[in-house]
Amino acid sequence: MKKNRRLEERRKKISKDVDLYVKHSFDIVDRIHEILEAQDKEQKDLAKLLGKSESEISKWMTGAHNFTIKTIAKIESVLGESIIQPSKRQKKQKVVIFSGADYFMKMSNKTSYLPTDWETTLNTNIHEPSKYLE
Amino acid sequence: MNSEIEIELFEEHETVNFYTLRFRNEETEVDKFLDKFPEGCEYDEDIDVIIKWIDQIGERGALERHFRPEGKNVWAVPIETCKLRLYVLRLSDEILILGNGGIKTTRTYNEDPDLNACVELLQKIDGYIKSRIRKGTIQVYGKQIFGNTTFHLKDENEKK
Repeated sequence: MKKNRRLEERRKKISKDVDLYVKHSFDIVDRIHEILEAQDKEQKDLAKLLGKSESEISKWMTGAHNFTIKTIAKIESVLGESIIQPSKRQKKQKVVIFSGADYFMKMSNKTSYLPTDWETTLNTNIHEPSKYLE
Repeated sequence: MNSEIEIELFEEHETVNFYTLRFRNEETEVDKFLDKFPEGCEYDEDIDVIIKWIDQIGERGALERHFRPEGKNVWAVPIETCKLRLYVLRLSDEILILGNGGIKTTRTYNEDPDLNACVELLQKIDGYIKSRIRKGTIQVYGKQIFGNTTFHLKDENEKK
């Protein structure tokens, strides 16, 4: 696909935050539009619900509006739908960190001299290494 | 007066093709716009926003709601943080023609001779395109414009 060289040069220098700002703004207005369509409403209905002028709502819906959280909350409130989907809280998982563990090779006592498995002990739980060497 | 002007493909994106205008032996209208705001000027971030806005439109489609109306059939790229205006013609959800623009310091674009010239040029081209579409000498199909896309402003005026 054809791209303009001059624009491509500038694209390389655009900061990630500007990129995300425009993308998020488009995501928000697309989501609002999706909700309005699902509810068989138009931008003028949203304007009425928020007590704003239609021209102001049009400005918001361009994709370059800097929405505040308060504005988003008001829109969510009048439309009864969420615009931003916060990531679900992850269940806390227990993580066991082994620090300074000792690894011992348990030797087979009869048939072979090769190790049959590994056993790990924490330094705080002191074992006598000799018992693994019987 | 240089009166020959041509529609030229500027960039292709997934959903939208961006065209621009070029007077014979001159830079494109978009280049003239970018020349006004060289890298390092106070409008750097606004130009970055415009470029990223073009990218998003290119991906999602040139839907009417994403534009700011500026005079008959002409739209502006919506920049809220400053008075920067880049004027465009929107032929469909898949075709945009980028023009020139500048800083709007007056209440309306008509009061600024430079901005007024940018908008009037696009309005003329819009009229010519529509006239040729009716005659069948220009076809718009999907993201593409086919046919005779060179205009002679004087001649076109005379024909009107």
